[in-house]
Amino acid sequence: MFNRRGQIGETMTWMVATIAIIIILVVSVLIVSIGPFKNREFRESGTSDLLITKSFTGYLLTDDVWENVKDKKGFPRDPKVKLEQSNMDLAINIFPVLYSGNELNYIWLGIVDSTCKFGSGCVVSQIPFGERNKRNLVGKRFFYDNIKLNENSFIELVIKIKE
Amino acid sequence: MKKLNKRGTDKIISVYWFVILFIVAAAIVYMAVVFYGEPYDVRETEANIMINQIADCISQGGEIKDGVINEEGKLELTNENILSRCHLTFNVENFKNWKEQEQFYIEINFYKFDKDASDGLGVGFGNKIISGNTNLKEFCEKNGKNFPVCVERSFYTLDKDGSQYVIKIKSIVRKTEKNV
Repeated sequence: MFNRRGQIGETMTWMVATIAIIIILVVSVLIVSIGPFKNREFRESGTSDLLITKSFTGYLLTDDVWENVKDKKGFPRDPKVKLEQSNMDLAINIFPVLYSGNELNYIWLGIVDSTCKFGSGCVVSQIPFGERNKRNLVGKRFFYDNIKLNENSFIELVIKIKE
Repeated sequence: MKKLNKRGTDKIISVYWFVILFIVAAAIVYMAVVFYGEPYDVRETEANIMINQIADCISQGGEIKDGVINEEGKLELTNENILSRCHLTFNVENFKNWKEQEQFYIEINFYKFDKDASDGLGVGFGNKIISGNTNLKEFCEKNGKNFPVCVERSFYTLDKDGSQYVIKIKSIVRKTEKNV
């Protein structure tokens, strides 16, 4: 009598274990079969983009842009470090050209004090297209390029496109 | 008597283990085949690589390279020399009649930069430069994974005299059979 009970208990354990294994396998197979792994698109990662770099370099060489920015220092909120209005207008005309309007999410161009950290309130010296904040510098599809002006500052371009 | 029963139970458990092992192994193999068997669609990347190659061939350091616009102010790049000048080849492997139907198309347009235009594009400069399978162009308006992938990018550059240009490059890759 006791032996039989023992046998039934053992059989039940195996049956439950078998059902559990089969359920786990079926669920896994279904997830793989109908899941998000089909139609995979390969997208380049990274934050550099050749055409943005070319356009940025072209922008800096245009008219007097480089002459105006090369000696600027990104001291906190100093109005003197602002880009000239004409240079800013030029940037506003150039960079949206790189992407069609509905693709573009965010553009920022300005002089940054490299000694400051995000959130300390001293990085922004120019806000032609919107605020430069950390929230805008995350995501899969943003590109940036910068050129060092001097020990403490660099001019930076950030472009984010819709995902 | 007891020993015989025990042997029988052991045999049944062995068979059961083999069955479970087989089912688990088969499921893992199936999942691996399904997961890795699906192709990656790399056509967008391929189209971007072509655009980068052409952009590099036209402009460097923010200025249009020597030999792209001649001294008379005319474009030296043509439909005939664009591939050799930019070190591109449209050769593809012999797969499902790919050799008979070209799998690539490129189109390059030079525009004078116009800051007053909403898209920055002023008057066209020189002739449109095209190469490859022109039939692919008509699919750009259509959405769907079975259509060729079209990528269009623009960049801003200057010539030696400081004149401003916007160069628009359209790149199309078909290769549907291997990417979808």
